[in-house]
Amino acid sequence: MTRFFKYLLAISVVTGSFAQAQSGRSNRAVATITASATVVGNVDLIVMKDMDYELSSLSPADLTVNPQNDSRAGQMKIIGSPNSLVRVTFERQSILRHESGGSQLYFAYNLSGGPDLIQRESILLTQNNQIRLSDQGVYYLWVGGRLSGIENIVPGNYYMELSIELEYIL
Amino acid sequence: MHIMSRRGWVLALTLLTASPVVAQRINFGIYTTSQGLSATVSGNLNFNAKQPIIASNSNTSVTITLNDDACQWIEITGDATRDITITITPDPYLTIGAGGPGNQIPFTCQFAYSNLGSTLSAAKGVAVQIPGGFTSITLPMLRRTSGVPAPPPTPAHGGYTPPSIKAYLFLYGTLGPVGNVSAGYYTGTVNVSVQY
Repeated sequence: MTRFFKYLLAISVVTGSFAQAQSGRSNRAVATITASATVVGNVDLIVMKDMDYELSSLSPADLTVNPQNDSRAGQMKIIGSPNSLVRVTFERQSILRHESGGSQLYFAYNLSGGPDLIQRESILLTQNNQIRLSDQGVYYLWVGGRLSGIENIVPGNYYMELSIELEYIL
Repeated sequence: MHIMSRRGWVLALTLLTASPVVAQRINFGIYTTSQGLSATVSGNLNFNAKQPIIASNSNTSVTITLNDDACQWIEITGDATRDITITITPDPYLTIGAGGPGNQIPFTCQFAYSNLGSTLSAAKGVAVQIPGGFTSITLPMLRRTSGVPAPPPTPAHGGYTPPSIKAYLFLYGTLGPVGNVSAGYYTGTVNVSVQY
């Protein structure tokens, strides 16, 4: 009987070694890849300050607002995805209509812009400009321009609208 | 009685000897593996790497192709003499939050394999693309390029280490169309199983 159990022990040791050899090699591997995308919402435009064009005289200096350094310039802020490219499109010419509807003036826009809120460092934009938003996803615009058609001007308030189209460049 | 006592000790020794050798080895980390077959992931399949701005409601799709830098891969290391079966299980959508309408974007995953024993840079150029709709393939770890089939592989035996080789699985795909969904970071997973 003692000899029998010695054989049993030997068999068990051999079986254990075999099992170790099998378990040491994996027949299967599993991996996972993550797919991701960051989706941005619409790019927004906020009016920070309307253009203040109060005319005290009809001198050429009064008729022109330089967007790069005139305190009367309007101010807007673009908010979007950080560091993204945005196309800025706007109509260069606009009509100012008298509040009574009878008289009108003409206005030629000039826009300047920059990623920082420093007007004097802004650069002039053309009608179809590509701009890059800052690390914080913002860009500032200053709105100026020049009045014309003042020969038959009627005193009073005049209004106009400026349409600016913003579009991500994909 | 003395003999019975010795039998008891022998049986106990047998169990103690056998128990450790059936233990499992579990590795946590990006190396999902073991000594026989391993799979290493290159990185995330990032659709912004192909198109930086993915705008909501743009109704556009973004496609990463095999040749794009954004294409990712899995390096499979295993026995050069054996076949492997690869099964991929991708999520049908990339989601944000709990997902559902307005919080998910359709995702289609495609894959290609390269099993010529090439380096990674060369493997991409000779990769075989799998048509859409397939989620499982079986292929040799090392494809024979010419000649007659090799003799059967050497059986495993003591002291013998079978030759190891690397094969590559490339993953790419399409995201979209991007409908009117919430802005934010969308994710999904592609589970890949490789076995002999």
